[in-house]
Amino acid sequence: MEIHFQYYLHLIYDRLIFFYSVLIMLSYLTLLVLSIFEIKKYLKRNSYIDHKLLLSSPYAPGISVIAPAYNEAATIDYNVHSLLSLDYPCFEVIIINDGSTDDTLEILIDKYQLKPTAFAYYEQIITQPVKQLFKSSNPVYSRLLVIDKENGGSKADASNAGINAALYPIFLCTDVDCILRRDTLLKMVKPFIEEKVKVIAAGAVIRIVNSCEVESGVLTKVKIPAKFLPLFQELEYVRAFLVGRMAWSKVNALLLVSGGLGMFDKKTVIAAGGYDHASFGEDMELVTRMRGYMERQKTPYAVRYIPESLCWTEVPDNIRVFGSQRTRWTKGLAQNLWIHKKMIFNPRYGRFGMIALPYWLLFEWFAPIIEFTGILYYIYLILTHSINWDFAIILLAFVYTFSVMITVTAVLWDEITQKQYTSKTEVMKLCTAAFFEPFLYHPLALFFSLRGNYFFFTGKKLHWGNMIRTGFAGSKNLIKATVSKVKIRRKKQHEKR
Amino acid sequence: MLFYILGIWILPDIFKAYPTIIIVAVMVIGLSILASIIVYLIIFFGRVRASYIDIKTTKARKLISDKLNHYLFFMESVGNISRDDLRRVATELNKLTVLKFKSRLVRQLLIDQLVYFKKNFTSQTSIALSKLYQNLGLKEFSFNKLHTNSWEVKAQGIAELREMAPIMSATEILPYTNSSNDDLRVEAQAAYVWLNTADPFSFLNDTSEILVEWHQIILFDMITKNEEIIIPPFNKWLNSPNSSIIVFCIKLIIYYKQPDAVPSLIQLLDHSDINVQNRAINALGKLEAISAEPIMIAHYSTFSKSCKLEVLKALRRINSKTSIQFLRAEFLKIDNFYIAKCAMYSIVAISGYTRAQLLAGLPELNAEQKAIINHCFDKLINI
Repeated sequence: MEIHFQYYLHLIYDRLIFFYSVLIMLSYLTLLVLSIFEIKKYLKRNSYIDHKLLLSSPYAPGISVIAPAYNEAATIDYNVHSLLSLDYPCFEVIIINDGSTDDTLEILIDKYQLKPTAFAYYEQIITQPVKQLFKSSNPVYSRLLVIDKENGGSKADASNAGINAALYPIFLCTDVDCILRRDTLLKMVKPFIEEKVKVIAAGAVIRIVNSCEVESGVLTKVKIPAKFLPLFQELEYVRAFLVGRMAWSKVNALLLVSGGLGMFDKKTVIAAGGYDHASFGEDMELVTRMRGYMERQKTPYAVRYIPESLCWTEVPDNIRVFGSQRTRWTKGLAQNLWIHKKMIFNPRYGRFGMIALPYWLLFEWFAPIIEFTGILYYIYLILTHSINWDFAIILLAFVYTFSVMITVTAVLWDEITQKQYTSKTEVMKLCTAAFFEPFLYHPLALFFSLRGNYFFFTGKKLHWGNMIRTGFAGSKNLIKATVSKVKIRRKKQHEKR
Repeated sequence: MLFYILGIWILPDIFKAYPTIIIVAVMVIGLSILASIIVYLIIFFGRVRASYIDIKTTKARKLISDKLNHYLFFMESVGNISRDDLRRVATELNKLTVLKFKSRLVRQLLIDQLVYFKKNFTSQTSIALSKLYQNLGLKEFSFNKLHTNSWEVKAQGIAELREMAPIMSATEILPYTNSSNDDLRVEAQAAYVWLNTADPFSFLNDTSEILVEWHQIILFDMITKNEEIIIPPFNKWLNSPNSSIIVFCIKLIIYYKQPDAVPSLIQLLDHSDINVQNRAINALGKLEAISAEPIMIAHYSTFSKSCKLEVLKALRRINSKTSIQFLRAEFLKIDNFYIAKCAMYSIVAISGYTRAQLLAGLPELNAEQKAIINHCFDKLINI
């Protein structure tokens, strides 16, 4: 019996897992090649184009910018100002105050001269009750609509309220604390108007704002993250966006348009049922459902990605918040694949069902679990003195060198696309981080992935948690000032009461 | 398998006794290290090259900009620039040979600057800039781009020629108006429209490809900015088998306010493409085609929801009081929130009623209907 067990264990880990690893590596190589084709295509198509043409066109489609806010008092003023300053001829900004317990709404009312309106809110997607809608009495802010609603416990619920109130056929969903490049709408709407098939969603590269210089909600200087965790996350973002997403966009099998920056066709989103407020990966879940809907309708469609960095977001720089975020992401992925299991390997869903979903199942969801069991097997071999150290080192080097190669190539793709960092040193720092990532950062990511799977399989309750913002370089004084303003206002209110 | 064979062939003898898996792994390690080194070198030397180019372009841009600004000011103040003055400008700019003027980079910079100024100046200055472009031999530089293999370089060349050399023959662009590459074709069509003022719209007869919205925006911009163009009646293309051409022509009919197109637009209400129907209804509204009002109302029940909404907006634009009864009925039906809201907006716009007057003429309303009325009368929403 024991001999049989050992035989099968060796068979699985000496042969099958090796082939599984080779398969993953081949898939990464394929993604690498596909992504550069897609990036090149994008660069060619936009090398001589003047996007500003849209600014003067009466036929630029209208866009609703939807940004949920929960306890964002520290920066809401500048964030909304930044959203209102976007370059586009026809858009509105919808801020959803998702039951904030701080002064987010009061600041908005005060700064933007908001007044309650008789806005006929029509609930196409069910959300937590909407308390009040506000518009500005100042014509300068006529593009702004603020929805005050009861807290729904998730960003999805707030976004759905924004979708219900949206006026235009296309909407951009973002986080209120994300910093968008001024031409974001001009760039992101282009796939919707340049494709022969219906584009249902589009995304763009999101970068990390930690250490960047920001003034009044506007990014003034891009800098590489100085701290350990954000630096590795930057590397991970570059790889995920410029290799993964671009490649899947090339074959029109993209599964994920990030919640931080995604543009959607409103009609399709509503037909698909909007964001799922029970999901921990509501952005991925929405795209999966939209794709499923379109495939069932047998309507040709596309989901596209833009290789340009249009959005900057703050990422966790401490283990606790990072861990909570990663656990949530993994649980969200597992939830999504589980909910939509009928689509996986189902030819009815085309390449999405036959390629993209199986890839996410085998190489994204299962990979950390398989990797963890592999580590346990290594430990078992060491303990039983049956390890062949030469082979073990060669196999470790095999995985390590390959992962470094993929990461530095992703940095090269970034260089080809836009040379985000001004100094050579910063790029070299990013490249050097690639060497340390497998040792320093990957174990952490693996641990929290396993934790996410644990939460999924045990059905243990997971909370959304709150992203603790430390502010960006050069913006700390500004945040401090805002916070003290909030404190003064609170004091006044308290005195009044 | 390939890796294994390669491994057996390349690797030192010590590895050859190893299992296949290890041989493949060693091969992958070698290739990964090699690829990583190459990538590093590309990034490093790419950066070095980029900073060299950056220094060069900054210097060149400043010099070009200073010279051009100086002469633009001169041109503006003098008005009609003489041939001698122009030659002097060209000579001055030619002195930029210190910056390796012959290099593609500097020439491209100069073209970009000229194009930028050309877009921002009119009359004599604009003409002088075009002449300067030709005197500097930059027209040939742009023209040579048409003979490269890259479609995007061709498109860039066409865009430059369109902007800077308006007196060139449109026949040079013509072959590209049928290109199989959508972007190049549309760039060529845009240039053709710009350069061939006598028969600029011939491409509308031949285009069988879909004219996507982005391309329509480019062409629309080109056509509507060209004041010398002879505008034809666009209704002659409303029978095109290509729906996107019909949609594009409807946009031009609206822009050039061609009321003669109304009968053809009415015929499009029966078109099989909903998008065409939608645009036709929109155009009838914008042209304030009162004759189309009863026809649209008669067709109303057969339309899709988006067309119904467009009819309600069109009635608002036509602004005839005869449609109020129809709009009122649509509002009271309330089988669709957006239709009821659009109907109410139109009633408010056409009738000019106050809220009280409107409510007096309506039966008992439900909460949704009341909310719609409040919405339509809210000044903050409709600012």
